Amino acid sequence: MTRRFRAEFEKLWGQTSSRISAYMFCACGNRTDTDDLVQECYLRALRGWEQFNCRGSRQAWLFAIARRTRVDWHRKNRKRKAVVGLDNVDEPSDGLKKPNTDQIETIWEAVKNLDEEQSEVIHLRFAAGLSYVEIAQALGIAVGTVRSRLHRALKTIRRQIEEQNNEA
Amino acid sequence: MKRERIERLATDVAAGELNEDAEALFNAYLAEHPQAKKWADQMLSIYKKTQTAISEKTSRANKTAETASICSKAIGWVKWPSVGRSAAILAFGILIGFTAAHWGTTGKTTEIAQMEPTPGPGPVKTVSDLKEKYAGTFWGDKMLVLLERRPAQQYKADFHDVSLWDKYRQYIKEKRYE
Repeated sequence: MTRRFRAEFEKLWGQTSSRISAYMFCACGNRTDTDDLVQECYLRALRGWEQFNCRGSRQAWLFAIARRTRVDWHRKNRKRKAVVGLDNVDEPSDGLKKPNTDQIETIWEAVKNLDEEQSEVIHLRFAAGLSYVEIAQALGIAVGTVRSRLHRALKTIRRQIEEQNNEA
Repeated sequence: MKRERIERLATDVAAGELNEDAEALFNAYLAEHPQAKKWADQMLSIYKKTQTAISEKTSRANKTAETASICSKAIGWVKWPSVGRSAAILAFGILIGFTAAHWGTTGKTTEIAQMEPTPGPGPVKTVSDLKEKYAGTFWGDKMLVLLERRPAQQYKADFHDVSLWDKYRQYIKEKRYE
C-alpha cells in the first residue's frame, strides 16, 4: 500500500464516513448493521480502488458502491424491517423550526414507504448530502431524473403528512 | 406557471440547485403571484421538514460512528504489545520475588543451622592436608578438585571439623550464589 494511496483513501474516509453512515442508517435503521454496511462499503472501495475511471467524482463513485452494498444487504435481509427508536434523538440545535416527534416519525415512515428509486434519491440527498449531479453519477441516471424523483418523493411525503393531520 | 412547475422550481431552490439568475426570476415571479408563493412555500416547508427528520434520525448513526472512531483511536494509541510485555515482565518479577523471599527464608534458617556450629578459627588446613585425609573416595576426590580451583583465602577458614558432605554442600551453595 503506497503512502499516496493511503493518504487519498484516508482523505476520502474523512470526507465521507459520516455521510456514508447516515446513508446506510437510512437503509437498515440500526447501529450494528450500519457499522457492518459502512465497513463493507469501504472494503469494496478499497478492493476496487484502481477501477475508478475518473469520469465522475470519487465521492459519487463511493456512493455508487454504497448503493450496491445496500442493495445486496436488502437482498439478504428482505424479511427484516428497520426499526428505529427515538430515544437518542437530540434536541434542535439551530434556530430552524423543527418538526415535532410525531412528524419526524411520519416523515420517516413515509420515506420508508417510498418506492426504491425515490427513497434512494431522498437518502442520497438528505442523509448523504449529495448534489443532483453526484446523485445522478452514483445512480447512473440523468440529472433531470434525479430532479423529478426527488420532487415526486417530496409530494408523496407531503401527502402522507396531510393524511395524518386529517386523521388527527 | 402550473403548480407542478412551481413546486419543482421550489424544490430546486431549496436544494440550492438553481442558478442565481433563475432563482432571482423565480422569486420575482412569486412576489407577483401570491398563490404560486403559497405552493412554493409548502414545498419548501416539506423539503426542510424531510431534511430535518432524516438528519435527526441519522444523527444517532453519526454519533455512534464518531464515538467508535474516538474509541478506536484511543485504543490505537495504546501499544498493546508493549503493555503485554510489561505486564508479563511485572508478573514474572513478582513471581521471582515471592519465590526468592520464600526460598531465602527457608535457606537462611538452614544456613544459620549450618553455620552456628562452625567453631572459631582453628589450625589452617591446606589442600594437601585434606588430600591425605579424604583422597581415594568419590566425594573426597570431587571436593579436592573443586577446592584446588578456589582461591587460597576462601577455604582456609571454611573446613574445620565439619563433615565432608557438609563442606561440599556449603561449597556448592556458595558457588550457586556466585
